[in-house]
Amino acid sequence: MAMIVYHSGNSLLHRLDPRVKMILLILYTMVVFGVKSFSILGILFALVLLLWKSAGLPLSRLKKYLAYLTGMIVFLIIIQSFFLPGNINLVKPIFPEGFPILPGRGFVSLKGIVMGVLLGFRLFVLIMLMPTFIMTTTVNEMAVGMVRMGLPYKIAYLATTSINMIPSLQDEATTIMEAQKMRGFSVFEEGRFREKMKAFPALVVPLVIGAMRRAQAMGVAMDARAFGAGKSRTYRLTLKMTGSDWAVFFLMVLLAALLMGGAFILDREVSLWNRL
Amino acid sequence: MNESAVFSAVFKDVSYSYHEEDGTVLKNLDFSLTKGSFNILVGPGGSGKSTLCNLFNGRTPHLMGGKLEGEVLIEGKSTADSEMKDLACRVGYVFQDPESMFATLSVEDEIAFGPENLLFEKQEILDSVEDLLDMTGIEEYRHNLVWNLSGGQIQKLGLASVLAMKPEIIILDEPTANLDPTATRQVHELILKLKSEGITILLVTRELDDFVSQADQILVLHKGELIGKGNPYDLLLEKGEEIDTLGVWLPETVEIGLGLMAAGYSLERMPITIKETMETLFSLGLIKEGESIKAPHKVYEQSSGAPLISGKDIRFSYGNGLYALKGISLDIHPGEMLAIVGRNGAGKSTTAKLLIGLNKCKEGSLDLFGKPSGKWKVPDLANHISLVFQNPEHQFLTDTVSDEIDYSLQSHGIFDKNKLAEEREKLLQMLELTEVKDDHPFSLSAGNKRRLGVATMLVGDPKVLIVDEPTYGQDREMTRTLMQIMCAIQERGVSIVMISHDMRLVEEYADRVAVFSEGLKHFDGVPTDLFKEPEILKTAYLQQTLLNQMLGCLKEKGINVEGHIPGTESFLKIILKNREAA
Repeated sequence: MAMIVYHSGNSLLHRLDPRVKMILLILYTMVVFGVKSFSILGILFALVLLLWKSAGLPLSRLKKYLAYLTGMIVFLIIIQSFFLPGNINLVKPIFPEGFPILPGRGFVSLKGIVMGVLLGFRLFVLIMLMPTFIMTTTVNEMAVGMVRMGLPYKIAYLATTSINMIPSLQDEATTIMEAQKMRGFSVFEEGRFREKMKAFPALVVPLVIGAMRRAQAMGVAMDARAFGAGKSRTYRLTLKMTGSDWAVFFLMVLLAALLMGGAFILDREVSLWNRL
Repeated sequence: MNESAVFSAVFKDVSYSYHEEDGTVLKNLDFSLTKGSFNILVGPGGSGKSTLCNLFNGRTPHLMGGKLEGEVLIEGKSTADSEMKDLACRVGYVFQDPESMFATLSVEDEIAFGPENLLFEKQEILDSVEDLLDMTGIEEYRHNLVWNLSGGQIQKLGLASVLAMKPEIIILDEPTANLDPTATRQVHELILKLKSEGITILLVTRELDDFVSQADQILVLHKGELIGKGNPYDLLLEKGEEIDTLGVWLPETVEIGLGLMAAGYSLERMPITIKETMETLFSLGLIKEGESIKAPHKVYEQSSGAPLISGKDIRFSYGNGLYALKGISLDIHPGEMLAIVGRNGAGKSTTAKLLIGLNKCKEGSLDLFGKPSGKWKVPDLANHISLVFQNPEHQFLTDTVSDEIDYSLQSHGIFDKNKLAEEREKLLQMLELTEVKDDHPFSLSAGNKRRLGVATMLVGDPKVLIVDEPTYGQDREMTRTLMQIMCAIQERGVSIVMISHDMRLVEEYADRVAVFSEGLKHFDGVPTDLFKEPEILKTAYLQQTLLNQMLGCLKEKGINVEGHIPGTESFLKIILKNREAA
């Protein structure tokens, strides 16, 4: 089944006004990017975990995200440790001073490793943050939310129908891989990286052709239902900010401010490992 | 203009071509749909049905361009002079596969989508959502997500969301093509309900069943030309033979009528329902009370050797706590044709995936070719058992038809140039693909794609070949061809497993049939025995073929029916022979 799709439920997060969710998502994305302290990131991680739990989202999914991200995180750590200069190097620089482009780089710095781990952690928290919005909001709520925030409705639906197509594309990719496996084509399971890259078109071509057909058919279907006929449209769903929506909004903004403030105070922690 | 009071749609000498230089896709169409009538448009694949449908809602010529001659009048107004959004309110179009075209996620949102675009007031939208949920009978699923609906519910939702725009005409594009018989019947009932409310209906299809008796008008399209129109009884009497040769499925009752005409009997009226067919047969004196209809019993000798595949008490879950299979035992013997039937979600595909190793058998036991399934790797297993997928495009890996076959040959260890060419030629010829051998697989016609799919699966001489839904998206000719290929392969000693819910295919081709329902096997045996037990079919949401239903009625009338009658052809032979003898 698809990785990021709407997950039915009636939690606080599900009931929250989509506009509040959207703004908070943007705000917290910025906070995660702005924070360099491990402790604050840790708090954010715990917070998002709590949101997952309260919305009844499947926590087993997190393991999968981590598995997908492992390669990326390892890559970040290696790059950072190679090129971020620090005071403690585990290995002497590979490139001598005066080497073009990378003079005196190619070491394994302790600071780089710590930085890499931080970036990886940040990435993971970010990836966790997304589903708290996408998996608790129906595409219609998203669309209406965006329109109410001033986006033209055609653009709002462009965004939401694309999200709507993800699960069927994922299903189709699985079917294609299974169908190809039946022909003794098992590169994606057993092949080496280079073989996988070479085999990629075999998966992508049918997938893209299928997606284009689907998109075209979707266009026809929406035309047939008068989508885009008028400058505006009406909505069955009315969004109204309730007291609890406002309360959650202000509380979360306050918390974000506190976290940013905390990060500022904890600057000492950052400067501590900056000295490595 | 009094016309618009009587007709919802009028086509006046309409011709159309996509580009000036290309040939015309539609030629001199002249017909009209009476207000509140139920019309059926029938034609084989590629006859121009969808192009014709696009003319109704103004997509052609407004969006598609091309050259349109003649005039299309909807409610008395030419589509060329109407705005698309006005036409969208007048003509509702339910697509063949509404699921992939839903613009929203939940049932209620989807119904409201059209009216929202038309700027209906909120209260009006809320009311019509209520009404339509009730009318189409999907009230209890109102909060469901669209992808949790069954095939029948999806069609009903598609219909509801079009009805929400209050159209005067509704076009339904093959709404029952992939539905099990129970869901098909519900959709048919819904269509009649709409008709009774005064909505003009155009049902587009490539097969006709006995539901055609309810239609007011049938339009037959072939290569862009309207080769017949009229009420079903007259039209089928007049043009039935011609329609039959187009490769359109006709109801078995009509096949019997046509067979009688071919045998020299003159009919006043074409029988369409079972009752009418029996009346015709009795009045012509072809069947008399107290008589017998005897056919040879189908003898099926299971090969004495050990089964190729043997499964016992298999339970299988996709890991969501629900069991797709709840204890299935199934053997597959060398050289047989086994049909696995059941409605969507009965566990057929799950079983197929177990057999080819894509699903792993964890509960129960499954022996494949003398080895427990756990010890097989998918690519090795592929040398022994193959699956022809519903959508052949999914299996294509290369850029030409020849390369595609070479790929399969190479993956079976054939690298010698001469041997490769020899084997390739053999397959190309067998499946009649020689002419297109340098084409790109994706550019082939639907039929040839299907052939290529079979060709690649035949490499390496598998012992078992599974065909998933041989009727899926095919007209009769294509299905027949595919099944003939299957029979030819079976003659070479290969076991064929076909997965289907089409009882006509089972009746005609299968040696043995296994009925699945809700993850359990309810029947395993010869098809003739299955048709003696209508209860089993009912619990599996399947339906007997019209021929078998009629034979059942004849039995009730005291006529002795014996043996295996695989189709209308052999039925006719028997009753005509009976006459000669008498």
